[in-house]
Amino acid sequence: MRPLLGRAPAWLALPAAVAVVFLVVPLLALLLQTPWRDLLDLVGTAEVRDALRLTALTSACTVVLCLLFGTPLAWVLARARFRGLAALRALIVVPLVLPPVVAGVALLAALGRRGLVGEPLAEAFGVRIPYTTAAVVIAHTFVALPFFVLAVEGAFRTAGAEFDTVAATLGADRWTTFRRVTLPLALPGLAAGCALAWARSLGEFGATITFAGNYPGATRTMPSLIYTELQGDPEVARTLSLILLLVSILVLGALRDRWLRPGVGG
Amino acid sequence: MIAAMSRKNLGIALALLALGPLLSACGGEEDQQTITVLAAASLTDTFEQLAADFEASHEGVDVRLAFDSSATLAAQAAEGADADILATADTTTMGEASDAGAVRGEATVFATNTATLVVPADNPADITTVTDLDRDGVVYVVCVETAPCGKAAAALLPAAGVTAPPASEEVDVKAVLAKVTSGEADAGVTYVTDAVAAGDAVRTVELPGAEDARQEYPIALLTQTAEPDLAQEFLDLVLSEQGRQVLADAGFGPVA
Amino acid sequence: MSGAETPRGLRCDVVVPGRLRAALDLPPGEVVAVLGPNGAGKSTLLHAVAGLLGDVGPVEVAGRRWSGAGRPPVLVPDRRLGMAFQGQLLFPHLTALENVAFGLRTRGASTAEAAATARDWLARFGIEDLAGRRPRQLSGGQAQRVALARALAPGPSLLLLDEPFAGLDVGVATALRADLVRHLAPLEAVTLVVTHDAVDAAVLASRILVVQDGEVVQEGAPGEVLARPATAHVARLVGLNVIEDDPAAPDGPDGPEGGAGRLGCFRPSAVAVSLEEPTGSPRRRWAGVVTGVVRHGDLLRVEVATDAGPVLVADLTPEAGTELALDVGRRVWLAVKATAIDWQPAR
Repeated sequence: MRPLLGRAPAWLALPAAVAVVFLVVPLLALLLQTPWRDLLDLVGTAEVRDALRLTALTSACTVVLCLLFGTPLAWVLARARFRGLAALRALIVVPLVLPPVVAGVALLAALGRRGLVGEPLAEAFGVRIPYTTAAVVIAHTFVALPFFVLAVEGAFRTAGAEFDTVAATLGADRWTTFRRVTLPLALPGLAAGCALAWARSLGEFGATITFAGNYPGATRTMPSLIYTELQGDPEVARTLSLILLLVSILVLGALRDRWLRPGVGG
Repeated sequence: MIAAMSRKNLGIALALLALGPLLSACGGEEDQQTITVLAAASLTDTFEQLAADFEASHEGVDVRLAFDSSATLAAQAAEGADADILATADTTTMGEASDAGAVRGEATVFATNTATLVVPADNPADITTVTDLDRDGVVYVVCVETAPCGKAAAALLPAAGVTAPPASEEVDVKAVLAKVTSGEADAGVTYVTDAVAAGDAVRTVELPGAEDARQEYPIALLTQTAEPDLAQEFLDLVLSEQGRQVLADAGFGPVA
Repeated sequence: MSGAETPRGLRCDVVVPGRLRAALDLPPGEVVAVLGPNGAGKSTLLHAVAGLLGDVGPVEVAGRRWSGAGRPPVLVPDRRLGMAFQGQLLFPHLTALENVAFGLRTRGASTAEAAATARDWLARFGIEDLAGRRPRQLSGGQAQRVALARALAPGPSLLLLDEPFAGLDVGVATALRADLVRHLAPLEAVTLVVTHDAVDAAVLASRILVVQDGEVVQEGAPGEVLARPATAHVARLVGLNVIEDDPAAPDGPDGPEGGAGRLGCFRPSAVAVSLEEPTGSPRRRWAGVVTGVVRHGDLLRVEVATDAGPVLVADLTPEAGTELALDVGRRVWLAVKATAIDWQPAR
């Protein structure tokens, strides 16, 4: 029972169709050109299982960190009022614009053995960050956090500052208002942010290999494994790409589009 | 006369005047020739030098250089990338390009390279022999096993008695060098030429068995070349006395 | 000050630069209707007293200083406020019961206690069977009841209702108004109700405040304010004809000498309608065109757009109307005795 508005205009439908083809054809090509029988063999190998396990672990940690630290930041950007707020928002978006390798170089400059924070940390506590799984999580979080914050800030805005006022007149301080009104209303946006952060983390390569390194078991995620294999056996690399693609499709399919559509209320 | 021209004609004339130089620049045969050389990352400095020499002695010729890992370049050549010459850091990757039918004629070995251990100039971990890599707390990096320098490291280190694994496998020699010079790693396995190129930033430590396991660098014309004669001239330069001197200065070894 | 009794009710002297200036002193239990044209500052008054516009001046409620006196102001959540907003603004993710219980839980009540009190309040408004519904499943009238219950449940010291019957069907609004009268009666709290309806003001309020251009221009008991409005807005609200003083009027105004700046009100029943220019005793008269004829109770209400400008309304008996063959587009003359016009300084 929809209003009689007519069909989608050609000026919109056609470019949209082109966009769909543009996005789908490479994926289809990957699916069709890859030897499927090798897939099961490869998945069985220790290297691939290590890489998959590491990818799953690091992407999950990334999402958790984004939730814990990105949500409050998104709230501040959406609600707080102070001079320099616009500058802060611009600064936070910078990692989005950085080529991932540059992000890796920046992380080294900060947390590497000779880094601004890394050097004193190593000298005082013997803590070394590069080449560890923790470094992978740090790299992933660095590049995924801006996506998360932007998505969730949007959700907090549409969740309506007017409800904040209502809650205040009913005796709720700002923390209570956040817990019982703002956050519940923004849940769909939060889920979308998580999906984005997870997806970015899954595909993250440049910053990871530059900052965390590439070693099986500790820091060799699926993308790193694929790149490594690309040097030696491109066919294997393709099959591995397919595995990663299938994993992504499975997870995103499980989410369905409920959470990928911003603004869908609970 | 000009006043008599109609506006439209004047416009066309101006457009042609502007386009003229542009058109002659694009693929004009008498004016500019270009050859594209795909070369392994470790050949950066030497080939840039040779390219400059070539351009100086050949008026109107532009030599475009693309440096990357041998595997990536071989793959590009196999895919039919628009290039004239391929020079890789090992015969295996050249073989891949050749199997794909990208190599015109036969490839020629023009230089050899020896693997070596490099440490930062100040040698903070005090590494003097290769077995020092086994010491507690020493961080060393190598290339991925699928790259030529990585294969070398994977063969030579265990043979020398090193049991400790590397902290990371970098994508190419340049990345290994970067980690060492920046102090992120105490040591790394690269080629002698990379150590020479890094100059004072690094010191070398001998890698036992490296001399016997030298890397052979082949160079070949590609079937897809658009300038076979010009490309051959460049190839000749590389193989000439002048070319060999430039390579030797950079640390490459002679053809066995 | 007597000193024996602590002052209660609402006392304030607020200034919102460019929008409102109001000084009020209201006893406990007073229900005040705030009337005025759009943009006059009615909602601003409510927001100012609530603390939603910052610290705008001294506000004291039920003996407790909310702002002023050089001390940091009491924050909005710490004020015992009850506020019902335009558009209800019920929390969409909570049920009706949870909405009403919200203000109780923030003040420390347990979930069970709050739910019990909330259910009680829903019952008082006759909607206890809607407790489990979400706001989007409620009709306008039902949502408004929940909003009122939500504001009243925590037992506020000051109740601020911003157009509580806006957008409701007449029947629904009338019923709700009657309920509200019952609920407000026993309260010690001062209530400020913004409304556009004279009947709401008359039924609910014990006092009327008329706000215009950011100032309180008239204040008094409903009977007084509605019978002798000092503003054109309220005059029209109660159905009186309103004219502004025109010194050039042919027969001159009766009453005290004065220049421009006076408001004259007269009832539609005092207007005589004729087809020819009236003659005789000094009367105000206007020529114009009939723009509407409507039954109004037992009478016929005729709306006339006068050539001089104002739109005036006359009440006639149906017989008189038929006799004059009044119809839309007919040219008529209106006249009213000078003594029937009640003049006041215009505000």
